[in-house]
Amino acid sequence: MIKKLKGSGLSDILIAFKKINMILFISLSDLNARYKNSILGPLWISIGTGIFVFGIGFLWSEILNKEPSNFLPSLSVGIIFWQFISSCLSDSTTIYTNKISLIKNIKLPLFMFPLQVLLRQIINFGHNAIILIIILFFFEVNLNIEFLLCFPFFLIFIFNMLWIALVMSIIGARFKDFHFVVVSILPIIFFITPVLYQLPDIGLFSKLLLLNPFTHLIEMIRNPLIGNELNLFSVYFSIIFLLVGWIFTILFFNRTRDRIIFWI
Amino acid sequence: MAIIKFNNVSLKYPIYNNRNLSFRNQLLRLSTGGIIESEAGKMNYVTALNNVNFEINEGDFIGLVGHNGAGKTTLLRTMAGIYTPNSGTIIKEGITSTIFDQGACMEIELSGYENIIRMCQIYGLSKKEAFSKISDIEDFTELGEFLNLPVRTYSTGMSLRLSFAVATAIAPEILLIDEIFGAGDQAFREKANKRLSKIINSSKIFVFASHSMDLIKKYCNKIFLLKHGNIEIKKISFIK
Repeated sequence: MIKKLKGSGLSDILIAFKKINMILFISLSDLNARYKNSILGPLWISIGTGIFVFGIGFLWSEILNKEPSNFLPSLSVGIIFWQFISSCLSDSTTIYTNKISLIKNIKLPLFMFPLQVLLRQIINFGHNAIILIIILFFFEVNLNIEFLLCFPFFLIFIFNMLWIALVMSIIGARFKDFHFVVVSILPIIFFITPVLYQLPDIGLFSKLLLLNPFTHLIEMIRNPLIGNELNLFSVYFSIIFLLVGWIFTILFFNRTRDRIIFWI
Repeated sequence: MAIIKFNNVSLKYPIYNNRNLSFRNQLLRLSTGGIIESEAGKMNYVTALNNVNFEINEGDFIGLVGHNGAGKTTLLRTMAGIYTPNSGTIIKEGITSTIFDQGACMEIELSGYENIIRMCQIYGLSKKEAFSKISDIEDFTELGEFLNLPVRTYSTGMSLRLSFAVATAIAPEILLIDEIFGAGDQAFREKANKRLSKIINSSKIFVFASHSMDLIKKYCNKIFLLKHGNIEIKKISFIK
């Protein structure tokens, strides 16, 4: 008699969401541990981003011959969300290998680990949001009522990143080379994602960028944040990406969930 | 009610070497079709449990014996639900706690107190329950002021005390333990044994993998002898 447990991936995800308090606590204590002996602690996240955004912002606005007051808000939103995306992608590929001793010794939902990757980025984002607010005020960005849309858009963004992180961590557990593949491709993705520029800046080439899902995630959330008109296509794309992505991920996780532990 | 029941449970796991795990070989497999496939994609399987059947009821205190690699740890992990079998069914009822590698969830940069709360939560307690365990753990570890310092500053013995205290702070219905003795000074070992006896005796089912026949004789009333993924159930008098 062969009985395969059906839907083990889905139930794993549900168990992890039930334990969200514990997982959040662990993520915060990880953050605490990382900055234990530094005076400014997690404020370094904000400071690092601030220096980067202002430094590169003024330099590039000079090179690209743009008004800093237009360029910097767009750039800072782009950079902050790009950091979110790129850290999610690279961290998730090694997460199962890094947590091997925990996984093999204590019964925990495996979805917990990609969720932790995401929570860490949300915490980082919380710190970076300080910089964002400073820049939006400093350059007196005209915000309209559409600004409020950035909250639901942020949810769409993080739930997209969540399934992506889960898929990346599963592939990373199976193929140890995958982490290096991702890390070496990331700089290219950076340039084909509208971080340094905005879609209208690049004319015909922008058609090509529309194939890149991260283009839409960033476009969706950036426009209301800097007072630009919504890019409806990107919003619809992100929502469909979310639904299709999760359906695929649950099917994929159902198939692989029980084998992950033997891969790492 | 506590019960563990294995019905025709088999567990086979693949051994991956670098060759199977890399992309290059997966690509090679695609491009070369069947010829090199057997070479490039060759996977070795270990049959850790082979059609295992047993039922553990309340009051059964099982000692798992068998030489290295016989599958003791695999069986414990399967009982704990960490490994999912390839075939067969497992019925398990009862709150389970495992003491395998106690240091697994320790974060050395955090203080002793922070680690207590963290580890208790990983073991499944709520934050409130975790805080209620503090005084018990303080008493047992006798670490005093050290609990305010990062675990990084502890000696091996001290961090063992802490992780052991946390792992044994929860009294479960089903207790699974994998070979944990050895370290620590004489005084600590006596104290640890006392604490362990207490949670073992309060549990309803106890499964213990060990090479120490003395300990097994002390705590167990049945023996599972593991041999090549098969289990023979023996009476405790099996070990002299």
